[in-house]
Amino acid sequence: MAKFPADVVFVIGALVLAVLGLLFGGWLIVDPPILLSRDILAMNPKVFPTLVLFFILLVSLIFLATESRKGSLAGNTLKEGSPQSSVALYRQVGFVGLAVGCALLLTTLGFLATMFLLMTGTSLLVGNRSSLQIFAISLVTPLSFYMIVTYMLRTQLPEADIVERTLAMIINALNT
Amino acid sequence: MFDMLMLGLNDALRLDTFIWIGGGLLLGMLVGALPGFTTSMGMSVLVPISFLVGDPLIGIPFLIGVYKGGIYGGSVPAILISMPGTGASIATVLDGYALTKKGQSRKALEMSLFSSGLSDFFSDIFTLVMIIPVATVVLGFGPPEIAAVMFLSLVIIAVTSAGPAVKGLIMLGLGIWVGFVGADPFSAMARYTFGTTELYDGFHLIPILIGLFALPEIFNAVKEGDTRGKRISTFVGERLRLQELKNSFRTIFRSTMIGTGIGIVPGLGQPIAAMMGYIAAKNASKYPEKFGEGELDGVAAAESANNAVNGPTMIPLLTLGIPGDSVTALLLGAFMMQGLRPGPTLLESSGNVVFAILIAMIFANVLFVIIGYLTIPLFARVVTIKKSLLIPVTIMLAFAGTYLARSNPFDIITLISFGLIGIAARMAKFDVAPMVMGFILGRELEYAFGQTLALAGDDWIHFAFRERLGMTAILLATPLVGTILGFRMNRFRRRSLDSDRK
Repeated sequence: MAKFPADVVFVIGALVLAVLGLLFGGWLIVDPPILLSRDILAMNPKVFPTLVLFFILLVSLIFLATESRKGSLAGNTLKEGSPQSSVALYRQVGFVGLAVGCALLLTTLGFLATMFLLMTGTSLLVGNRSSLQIFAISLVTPLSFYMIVTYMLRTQLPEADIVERTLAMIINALNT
Repeated sequence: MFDMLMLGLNDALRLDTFIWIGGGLLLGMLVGALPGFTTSMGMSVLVPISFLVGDPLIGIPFLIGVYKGGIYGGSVPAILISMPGTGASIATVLDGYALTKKGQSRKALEMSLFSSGLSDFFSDIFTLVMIIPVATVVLGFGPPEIAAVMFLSLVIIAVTSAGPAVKGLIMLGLGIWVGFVGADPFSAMARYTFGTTELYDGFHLIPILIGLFALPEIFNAVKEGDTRGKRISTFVGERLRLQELKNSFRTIFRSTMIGTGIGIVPGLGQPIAAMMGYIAAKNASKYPEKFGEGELDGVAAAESANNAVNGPTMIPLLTLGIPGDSVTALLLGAFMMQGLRPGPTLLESSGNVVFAILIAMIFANVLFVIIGYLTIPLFARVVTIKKSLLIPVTIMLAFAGTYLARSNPFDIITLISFGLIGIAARMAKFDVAPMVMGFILGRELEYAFGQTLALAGDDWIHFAFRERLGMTAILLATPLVGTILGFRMNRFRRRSLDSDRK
């Protein structure tokens, strides 16, 4: 299976974005409702983005032309991954999935539950196998942080109503 | 201006400011001492905390403490386990680790601390002295000159970033483009918002900074799995003698000058300063063959050069609003969150705060040496802490910090999106710093460019060659400066590699 180097793939991505930006600039940038003279509107909203997109396009093409001369665009054969690298790949994919999932769940589940999931998952992915350590870190750190932010710095973190009420009750009980 | 300076001196001498600087220094040293943790990553997750404390005279000095502590802290694993904690400490490995192998790690760590403290102190004084004349010159700048200086700075940042210049330019373009998302600065018409209200204000800086700097580091740590530094006899050997420090004064002075000069130019940063300081010390030494074999002067040269960069990077940041590197980009974000807008008018509008911060930076160096000296044995042990205990805490701080900046759940999506871009960029060996600079300065550049167009009217030739010669000179010099710097950087990298191999 042919495979391009990562930097070439990245630049191809940038190039595609630049082309799409140029092609669909008319739809993606709203025109002023009335034609304003240059005294009022110094520059049309499309001018600068178009210049920048042409710049990205040009520099990406220069990069690809240079790589092509080096032979990088000819493609290499994909080597079979060693078992170790596939484990690393699973860990990476797992981390991305976990981070995306927790980002989407943060406002629904609340800070403490989401951070517990995120920290437990990350600890396991990094390779911690001590359940006591994982449990302690994932529970105590977010809880302490939540208390400091909410009760000392008076700033809000997203939290489920029931958890907020329970914590407030505990704090009140401790105060009295 | 002098009144402002006096007011600043008065404001700087506050106990709470020093307590927070001390906390920042400790956290910075901790982050720097942990192999695999960078100063940018530590600062990115701590920026929201600096905002939460509310007072710029606490929040900003706290971050400056993290910055100073982080750059020094990076020398600890560099000396003890030959693993630079930050890019700034790469040159420190060469002689620092050789000294550890000789059983003189204590001497190396103390030399690193004192040379860092001395150079930081003198470069901060230079910053305080220089900021008034620079600000006075910059105050006379109009939109054309500002646009030209921003353009020049962006080109320098791109060509001096890690890797080939063309990669830096692509990242710069992408960063500027991302900055266009939201309302157009002139007509307030929506650009690239896809009809959503969340994107109308554009992306917020904090999730972008945390996403691009912190998430790729965490991703990398996950990839590597649980590692800890090699178990070592951490802190052994004789203390550094005063005479040995005195013998290195000439080297420290030379490296301080090199670091200070590099700090003023946006984009160059600590790793280049450290390597240049090291090479200069080696060339000037009577015994160059001893370098790399455990020469104390080698540690002093690298460490004083990289720490001397810290102060002067504030000059372009505070006077022009141009961050010199990723760490000062984070400081820019912190200033903006505190309602301070770095740029030509900052000294006029909030001069007392700026001077207070700069004066606090100078006093912080005394605190830095004291805290550093007392905690060397502690940080020598920190090197061996398991990553699996720290990475989960870091990711929690990344999420919480992002949310706390604006209490907007959309910022968490931005964090993840830019985290993925940062991860892809790292895999493809692209430096994200030009992207961040492009994002920060792109809209400002567009605004200044638009104002320049309006000022110029139809007679461009007259405008460029009669009215605004300064702008024209800077614009004409930009390709020349970019090309020369690009070539010099390539040559310098090759020399550094050769020096590394030797």
